[in-house]
Amino acid sequence: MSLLEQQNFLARLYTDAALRRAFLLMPEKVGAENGLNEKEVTEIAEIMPEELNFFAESLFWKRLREVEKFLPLTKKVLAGELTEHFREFSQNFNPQTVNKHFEDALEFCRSLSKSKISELSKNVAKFEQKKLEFFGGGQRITICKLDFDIRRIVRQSADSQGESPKRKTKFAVWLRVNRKVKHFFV
Amino acid sequence: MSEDRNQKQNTQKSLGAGIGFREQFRGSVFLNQDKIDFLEITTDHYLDAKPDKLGALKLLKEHFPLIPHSLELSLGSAEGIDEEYLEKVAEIVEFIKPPWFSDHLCFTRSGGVKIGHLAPVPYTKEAVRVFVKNIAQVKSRIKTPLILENITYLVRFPSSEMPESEFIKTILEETDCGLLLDVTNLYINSQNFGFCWRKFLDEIPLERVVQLHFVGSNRHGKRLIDAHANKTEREIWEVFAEVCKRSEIKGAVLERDADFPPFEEILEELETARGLMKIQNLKKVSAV
Repeated sequence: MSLLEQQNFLARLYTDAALRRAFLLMPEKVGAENGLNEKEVTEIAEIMPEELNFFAESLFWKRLREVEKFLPLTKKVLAGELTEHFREFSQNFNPQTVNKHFEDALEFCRSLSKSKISELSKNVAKFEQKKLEFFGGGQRITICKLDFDIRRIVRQSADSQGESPKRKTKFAVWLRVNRKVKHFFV
Repeated sequence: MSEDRNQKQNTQKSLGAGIGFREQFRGSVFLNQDKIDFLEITTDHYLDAKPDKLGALKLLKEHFPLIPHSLELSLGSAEGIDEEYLEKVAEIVEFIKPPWFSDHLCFTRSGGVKIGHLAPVPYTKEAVRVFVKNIAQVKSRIKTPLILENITYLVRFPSSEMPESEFIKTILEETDCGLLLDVTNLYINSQNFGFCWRKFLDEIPLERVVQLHFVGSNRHGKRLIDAHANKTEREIWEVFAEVCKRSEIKGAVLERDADFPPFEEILEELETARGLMKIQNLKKVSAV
């Protein structure tokens, strides 16, 4: 097996949980389906499953930790649900740019708008998505329509607890004026 | 290593003890400029950067010696170097004009999939050839000396044809590169896979060590991992000290990425590193 073929398959094994599970269960069948011959399957199957899974999990957690840095409010409102949603998202998206964590965070926010999460959580994710788009894209102005008054969540620290925000239409605005950024709600 | 390059690296003045720059440290590094000898910047944070970010890099450059450290050259990728990425790294290196820059002995992408972190390659002759070819391409674009970092690995390849130490040695010698020895990675691998790190040091060309990385390890179940989130423990200082005794390192960088402690703790670690690096200098003086 050439190193190129091996790396192509390994990169998928590390990042695709379904393929990994299937390969560990039926290496010959899954290997053949992916164009590997018997010797090639044996070479990869010799890697200890425990090591393979541990490495793949470590990649997932590293990726999640980086994304969380961009989305402190989404992390707060989703709490324990965040990991589950990011796990699902990470199986379908592979960032390609040099700003991979930023790209990951932005795309994850977009995906949350279609996820089964509370409307409040969707609003917070949308707020952080627009914020990232503003700072990442260099627009002069970004306006985000929200269905909840999330100002308290935004202004308090990401770790604080409190009552859930009330449903109320609000607009979050980011504006660049003379190289300075202004942010406010109306 | 060619005599010229070797001579250049050996005569290069030691940069001392520095830290991997993180935005969280921005205020503290300027406040403690006299206690930080140099900064290592993650090149990837400045690729495609907007003018304000590049302005921030320029400000760092005006106050500290900087060493660029990149993450995604993917020198072990059999599909070759991503020329667009290489060009961007080259621009940053040319802007900083450092004495050296670094990346890892690993692959991070293949077949259109970005793995997201540093993945090991099997220690085979074919993998050596891939590294040699890719590094030659990097060197033809970037004239600043490239140094290569050993990684932690969580998977091992039974198809490997040689031990890691021989693999590293062969690549360093065939590419004429220096080594960025991550003493934490070495210690973690030795604990996870039951080998003696002293023997590993015996087997690699220590005269090629240019820089060190260090930070504490984290335990995850029965394994140690390199989360860059802990204070350097005694065992890792032991590896650090041993390397200082045996080679003429030009700089050491504390790599802290998470669970940031009060900055005083970072400074204390730098002081410890500086003290251990002095052993090296004292050794040279006593030899004279």
